[in-house]
Amino acid sequence: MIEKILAIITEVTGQQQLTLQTDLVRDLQLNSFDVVNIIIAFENEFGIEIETQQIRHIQKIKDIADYLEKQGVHD
Amino acid sequence: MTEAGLRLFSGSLDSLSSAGLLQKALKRQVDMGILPFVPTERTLTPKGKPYFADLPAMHFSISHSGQQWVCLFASQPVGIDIEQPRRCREEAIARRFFHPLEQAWLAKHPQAFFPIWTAKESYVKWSGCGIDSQFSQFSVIDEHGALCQGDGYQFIPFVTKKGTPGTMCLSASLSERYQTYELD
Repeated sequence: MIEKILAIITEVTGQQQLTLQTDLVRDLQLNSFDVVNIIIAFENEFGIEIETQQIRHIQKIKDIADYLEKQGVHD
Repeated sequence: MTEAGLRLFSGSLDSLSSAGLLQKALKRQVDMGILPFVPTERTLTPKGKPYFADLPAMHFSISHSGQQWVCLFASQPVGIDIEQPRRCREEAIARRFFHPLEQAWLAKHPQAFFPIWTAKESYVKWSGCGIDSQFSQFSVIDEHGALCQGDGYQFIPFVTKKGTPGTMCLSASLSERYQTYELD
């Protein structure tokens, strides 16, 4: 699951050497449009909808992983 | 103190972090006599809009795209967004985040995607709401594709010196004329 999450973010952003603790803004210099692209990629991959108001709370990759787990998304 | 209008500062994240560039912009404005001091009490509203508690009359909005960073300062609320156009899932993003009026316009004018996106983002930064569940509930354009001037705000499309397009959302009482400053 974690590998899949990291692979999706790499595919969307082109950034490598990611970990769960990677901060999307501080470490990858992504902006909110980049995060939206990542959200769309996850929604497409897992067939879910991530609530729009959750977007501002996504700071680290771990936040995405935690959200997916809460939604019951598994490998 | 110098009476100042809109100030648009640009910099590169190659040289400094966003916080470092903001600090540099603030110091420059003190040196120019626009600000009385460099504020330090940076905080967030409950909805996540940044401001300085020790200088609340100074409004600002930050945006970056790739390494290009900008910050707009004014005496009234402002919002700014820049976005270097690039390949992305435009249809999926529009379906999810655009108002039906915007989707309909985009279907016939695909080049409007980033102008619409930056206008929407600049608006939610101006209002302080950020991207929330209401983001797809408002349209920044009318049925002819023209940017709407709303109750208390106005949109100003612009392009940075380095060629990155964006939109400013300003309080309606502000003059749309702005001074640009380079931090590099």
